Amino acid sequence: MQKFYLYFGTLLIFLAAVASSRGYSLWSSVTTGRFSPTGPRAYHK
Amino acid sequence: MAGDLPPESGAPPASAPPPASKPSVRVFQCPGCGATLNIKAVGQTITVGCGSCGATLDTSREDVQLVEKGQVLKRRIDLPIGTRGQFEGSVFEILGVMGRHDEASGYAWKEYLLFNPYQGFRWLSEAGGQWSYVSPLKGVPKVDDSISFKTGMKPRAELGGRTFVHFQNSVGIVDFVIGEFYWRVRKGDKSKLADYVDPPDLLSCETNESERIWTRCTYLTPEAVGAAFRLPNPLPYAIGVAPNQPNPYLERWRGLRDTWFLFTIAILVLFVLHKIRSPHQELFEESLHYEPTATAAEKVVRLGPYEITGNGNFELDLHADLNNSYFDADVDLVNDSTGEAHDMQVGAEYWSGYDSDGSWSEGSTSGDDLETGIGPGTYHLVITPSAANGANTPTPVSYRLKGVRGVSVGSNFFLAWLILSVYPLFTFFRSSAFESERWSNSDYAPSDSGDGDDWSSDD
Repeated sequence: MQKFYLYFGTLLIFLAAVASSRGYSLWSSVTTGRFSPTGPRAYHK
Repeated sequence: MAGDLPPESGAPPASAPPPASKPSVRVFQCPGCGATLNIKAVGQTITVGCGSCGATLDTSREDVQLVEKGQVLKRRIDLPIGTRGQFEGSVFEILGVMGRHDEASGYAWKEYLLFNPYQGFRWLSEAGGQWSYVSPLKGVPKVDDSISFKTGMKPRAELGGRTFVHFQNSVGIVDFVIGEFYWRVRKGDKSKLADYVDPPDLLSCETNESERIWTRCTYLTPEAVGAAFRLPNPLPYAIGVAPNQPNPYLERWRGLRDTWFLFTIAILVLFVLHKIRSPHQELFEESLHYEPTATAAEKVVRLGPYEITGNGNFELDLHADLNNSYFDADVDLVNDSTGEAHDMQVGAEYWSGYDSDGSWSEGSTSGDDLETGIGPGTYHLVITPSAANGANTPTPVSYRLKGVRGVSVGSNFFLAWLILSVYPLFTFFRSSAFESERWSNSDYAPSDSGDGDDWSSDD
């Protein structure tokens, strides 16, 4: 269990660091309900 | 031990007599009921409790004397006399069973006397399904009776580099004896007992008027006892927490604690680095006004162009002058080069008033939105606002909008830390609960009286 915690924690911190470096906010996704950027769309005036 | 009279009052002598060189059995009849009884520790057993009639017999001489008549009571004896089991690499046989209880609390336990002709005597102590293997102590512990409610220091006994903390004092009274014993013991005999714990061991000091005996009690699970005796059926399961029972969560907590601490440091370092490296570039801050009476085209606000370099996120911060009203804005962040737009939304609502409890307020005059995956390029914003009061009537609102690119996102680290803290905290609380239950049976259990000498007092 300790080993699992170590591996899981390392992975989680790595994911948090990657997400933050790319500007993603998991908390913002949870509060807005938008879990992944839908990406830009074509803009129509 | 010719010429030595073993002590009275239930306590075994300081040193058990040396084992007989040749095992032999003495057979006789109980003077109380005529049942045939065996003595296996010939030359050492001087007290026999008859399992048939409950009588206590003196077998120190050739003619067996009836010391006390007994009563035949149904007692649960998990390990019958004569059962053999393996401990410390040797086979021991159960010679006798003694039941005792604490004079003050009534807490009861049984002690099984084990015998090996070459290793001598040991005991198995059992209470509530919790077992301990009891052996004579080599050496006398150094006892420090200092006690301090202020610092939480309890009396302790030191032995072999280990510190055993005082658990409880009690007076043990013999309830019954069945089988053989190498000291004079009978129902009603009393001994003072003082226990010191350092799980999985417990040092027990048994004292009467003439002597003091120390023993070491090592915790055993019911499964371990059953395996030692190769019992066909499992022993009753253990109830509660024994004084010397190892805390299964403590080791786990200690291991997790170190890893959790390292994770906390790593998260802090990464967060600080991320914060330092985030550009946090403010692209604009504009004061705007929404006028509901304007035309649809006039209501739409265009801001920009703004140059964004590098990949990252973009945050809109809104502050609006609201008074029992709400404000919403759909914002398109449009890349002038690619024609692609990112949809954003910011809004705020603020309500206040008075009622029977006084003034109240609800909501906030500020809001924000974060969009990720913003690539480099030239962008402009198309803002479509709306605002209304509590009656849903459009209302003019002044607002301030700020756009920042490359904001730091510390919440990811905080969330990771929260998730990683759950299991260690859970283990910590389980470990603490285990210790609380252990010490709830001690002389230091928190009381509800609130007396000045309450162990839980802050004095």
